[in-house]
Amino acid sequence: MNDQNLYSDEFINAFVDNELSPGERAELLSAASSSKELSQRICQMQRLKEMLKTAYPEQTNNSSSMHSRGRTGWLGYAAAAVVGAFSVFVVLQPQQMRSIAEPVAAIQPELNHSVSQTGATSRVVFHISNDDLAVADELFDQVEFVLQEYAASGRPIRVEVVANNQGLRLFQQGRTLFEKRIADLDSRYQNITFAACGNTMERIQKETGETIEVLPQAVIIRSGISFVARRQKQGWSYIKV
Amino acid sequence: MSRLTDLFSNKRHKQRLADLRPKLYRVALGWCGSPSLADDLVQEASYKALKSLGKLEEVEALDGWVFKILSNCYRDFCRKGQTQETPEELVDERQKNPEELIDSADLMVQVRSAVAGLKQKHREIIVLVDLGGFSYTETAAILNLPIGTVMSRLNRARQQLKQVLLKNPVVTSQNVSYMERVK
Repeated sequence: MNDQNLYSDEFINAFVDNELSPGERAELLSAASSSKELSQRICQMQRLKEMLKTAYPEQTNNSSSMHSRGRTGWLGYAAAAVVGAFSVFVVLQPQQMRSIAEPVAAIQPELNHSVSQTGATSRVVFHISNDDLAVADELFDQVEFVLQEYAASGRPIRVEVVANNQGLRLFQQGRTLFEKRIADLDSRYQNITFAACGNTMERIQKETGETIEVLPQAVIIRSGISFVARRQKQGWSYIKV
Repeated sequence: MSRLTDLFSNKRHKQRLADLRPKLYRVALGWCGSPSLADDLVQEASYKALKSLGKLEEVEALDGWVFKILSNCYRDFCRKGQTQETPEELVDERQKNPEELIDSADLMVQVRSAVAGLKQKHREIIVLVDLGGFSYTETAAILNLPIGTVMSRLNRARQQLKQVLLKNPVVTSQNVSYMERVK
């Protein structure tokens, strides 16, 4: 029996609903990092959950007419997302400066290297979309756990942590409570990348006027969602925390 | 002294009830699919909760208690055989990649349509878990169900939504993949 058949749909549901114990979560994460099928099953359940939450956006108490606000809020969000999708992003850090227009060839060899030449390299993308401290703490625990485990056993792995929506706050300079932890992970492991969603940054700026600056360890990607979708198509294991 | 305590306690309950309104509306909308009906259900549940607020001792228990009232209001509505409003738009069957799905307002119609297609007993649970953010234990308490039933119905709901919403294979994006920096 392979790894994916060991875990029932109810167990995977419990994972995405945060109903598992830390030990059970770690076990499933470990299994998923080496099983594409299992990570796909987890990914599908997580996508469904996210789709549902996106389709029924949270309301605020500031509106007198709740349902009319809901529709406006949704359209506003969709419009911001579409505008963001067509905009060109330039990363904030000078040493990382590269725009969407820059030839992909510059980074493609490295991607190809990870896919073809190091077939045994595990590749895991973690995705967080909220700034709940407990969840974030768990995310970094899981990331560290995976990195430690692979380092200890000498197995190669690449890990990316993608943050969008309120999850972006975890990478925000002057706001995140995880600055030291991110810096520590970044300096200890060369195989981890932190990626912040540019669409979210643009949306927040449009909606609130707030300009978000991310930590120097984080890169800015155009869209967190499309990024993780691409990673999945490239065969990465996807873990939504 | 006890009257003063009661007064503060009641005020805290009322404030908590007001704070809960967006979440109540979100769940009600998930259940019934109609913004106006969701507003009505929230109104009715809030009114009933306010009337009985004095009976509630623990403010911590208020959330589950109010959602239980909302659930009863919704079930009453369904029992009365009133026509359930569903989104007018049909599910768009065109294939889209996830980025397009997320970025498109069509997603709302598709997902809401799929949720409306669930059986009521399945919809109640997935909405409480995914939109209400309730744990399995809390959901079981709100709906007076064993936790095992909550888990199995939730799974049924997700499997059905998966069939409807994720049945098309992911289409390869025409967008060029890029990343600003790779270690």
